[in-house]
Amino acid sequence: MSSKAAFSAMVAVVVGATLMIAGPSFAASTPTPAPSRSAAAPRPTAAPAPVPAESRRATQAKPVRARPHFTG
Amino acid sequence: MVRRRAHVGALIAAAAIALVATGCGSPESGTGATDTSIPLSQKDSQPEVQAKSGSGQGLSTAEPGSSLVATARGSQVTIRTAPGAGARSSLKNPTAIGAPLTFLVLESRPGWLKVQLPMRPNGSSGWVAQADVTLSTTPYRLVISMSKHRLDVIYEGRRIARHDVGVGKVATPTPKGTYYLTELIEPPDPNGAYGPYAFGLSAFSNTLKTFAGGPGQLGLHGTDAPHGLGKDISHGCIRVANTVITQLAGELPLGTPVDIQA
Repeated sequence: MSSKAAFSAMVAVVVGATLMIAGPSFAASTPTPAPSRSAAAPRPTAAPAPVPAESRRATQAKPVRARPHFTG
Repeated sequence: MVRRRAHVGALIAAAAIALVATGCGSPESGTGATDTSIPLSQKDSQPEVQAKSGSGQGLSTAEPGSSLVATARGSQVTIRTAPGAGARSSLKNPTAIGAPLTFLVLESRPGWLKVQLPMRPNGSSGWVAQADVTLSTTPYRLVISMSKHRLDVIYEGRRIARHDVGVGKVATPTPKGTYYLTELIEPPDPNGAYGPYAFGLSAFSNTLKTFAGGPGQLGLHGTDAPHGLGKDISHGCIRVANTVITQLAGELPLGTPVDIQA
């Protein structure tokens, strides 16, 4: 192989190695299409039922001492 | 000629290296290799049940997975067919057994609440004045699968416990539907047929109009026959182990919704 051919091969390896290192960042910086307006916009939801503001967290039931008459 | 071939070969090699390098960094190839599996710990915390608003399910509240409960203020609550309509009936507070009169709220209008009623037929509802009750929320919900003989305890929309249950046999089936806990009773004999505790439900047997002097009301209670858990064995009630009903009695508020599913 002549010195010119060897020089060309060396240049090719250097260029290839440079692309290998920089490739992922090139790919990552590739602009992606912006989401369409319909996809980005929040979906309309049904209006929530009005809930009275006067509410607190319920506490555990207090047992009543009695004889049950459930179906068992 | 030989020099030119060597030159061309070197350029092809460089192009091949460049293609491999950029291909490895492409987002498409990364997407294809993404592991979409969810760790077990995250699967366990996935929502099991979404509280629904609307007929029969209980009104969703500002707190996710919670339901709205109404408790009577005075000695009785007037039931109406529509907001502001004439009285249809009235219910006494406390109840005959001594428990606070409690309702599961289904719908809300200014000053009025549509509630499920603890009476026949199953799923009955009516309107009560908001001034006649106090409101609270329960983060709990019970879901019972009769075919799987399973009780799931839901807290803020997520399952926190699962237990075996016994349900109604073929001749006296447990009715499907959404009900709620109406009372908590501590029987005189903790080792008896009902175990140490028994919750009353707003559901009634469709086959037994009366039972043991009562109106055929269904209950969620312990048992003195734990071998019946996992079977169709009861007169309609839902049976759980005594340890389970003891735990539930220490946590659940009255008004907690109970979904009974096939």
